[in-house]
Amino acid sequence: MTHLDLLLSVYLDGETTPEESRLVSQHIGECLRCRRRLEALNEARTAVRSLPMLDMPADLVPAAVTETRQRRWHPARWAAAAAAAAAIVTATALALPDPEPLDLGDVTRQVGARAALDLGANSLKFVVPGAER
Amino acid sequence: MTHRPLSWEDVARTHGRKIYNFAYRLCGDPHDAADLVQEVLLRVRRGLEDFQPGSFEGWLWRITHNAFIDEMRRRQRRPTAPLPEVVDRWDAQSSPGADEQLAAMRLGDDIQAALLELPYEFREAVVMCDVIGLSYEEIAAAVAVPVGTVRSRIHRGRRLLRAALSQEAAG
Ligand SMILES: [Zn+2]
Repeated sequence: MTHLDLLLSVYLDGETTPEESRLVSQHIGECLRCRRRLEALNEARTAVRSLPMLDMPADLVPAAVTETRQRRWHPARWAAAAAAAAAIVTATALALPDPEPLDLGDVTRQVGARAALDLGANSLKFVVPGAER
Repeated sequence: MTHRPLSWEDVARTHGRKIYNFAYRLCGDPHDAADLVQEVLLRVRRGLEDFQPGSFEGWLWRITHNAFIDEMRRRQRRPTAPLPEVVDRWDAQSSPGADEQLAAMRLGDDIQAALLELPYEFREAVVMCDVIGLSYEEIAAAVAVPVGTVRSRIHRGRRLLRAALSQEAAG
């Protein structure tokens, strides 16, 4: 009997083709050795998946992301952002829990407002909120 | 559905934490990870003008992969660490009770340490798959290798991880 190896990991990830899936499920039904291999691989997989998703350091904020070309990139957005500058959003932008759809006009305006204030800077840097104010 | 142009702030908000976790699991250092996020967002901002909607994950993780590789080259660090002693312990049985010990020992620090021992290519593939949750196809696009290579790297990475964790548990 030819034992399985690589396909076992692929199977755990649900990345096997239908034909490969049939092969694996039939084989592990008959072969204790490959069943144990599958369990061992699953332990490694589960271990990595159990690592906690860490938050970005809370005191890190991308304060200035500006290049002159970005001004002409979306001029209307920058104008709106400047008008909304009072509603500056600070540290939490990077620490929000789960991703949301990318069409986020509100977020763009809010966070863009902060960046718009920093048009003089020419590089992205992180600052500690409060340290500069 | 209207499609607003993507901004780097969108990317920072929706993917910053994932990029940070990717970098942290790859290098094990919070400061280096934060630097990497900074570099990626900078590249995202420069590249967004050319981005064609449709393959955002592959595009973003390609940038992240390249930024990490460049950073490693810049620092002239060796990205991989050989692990001769744990290779080929695939079917080795550890002492009785080892499974329970393994479970007890499986704290984040041990897993992180075992990850850092993996050759870089395996570590990256495993982290993209099991930490970030990318599909094999997305990983292949990000790393610019065939899907078959991704399969192999993830599998070999898991074998080495399992061996390393068993060894730790066995004492
Ligand atoms: Zn078998």
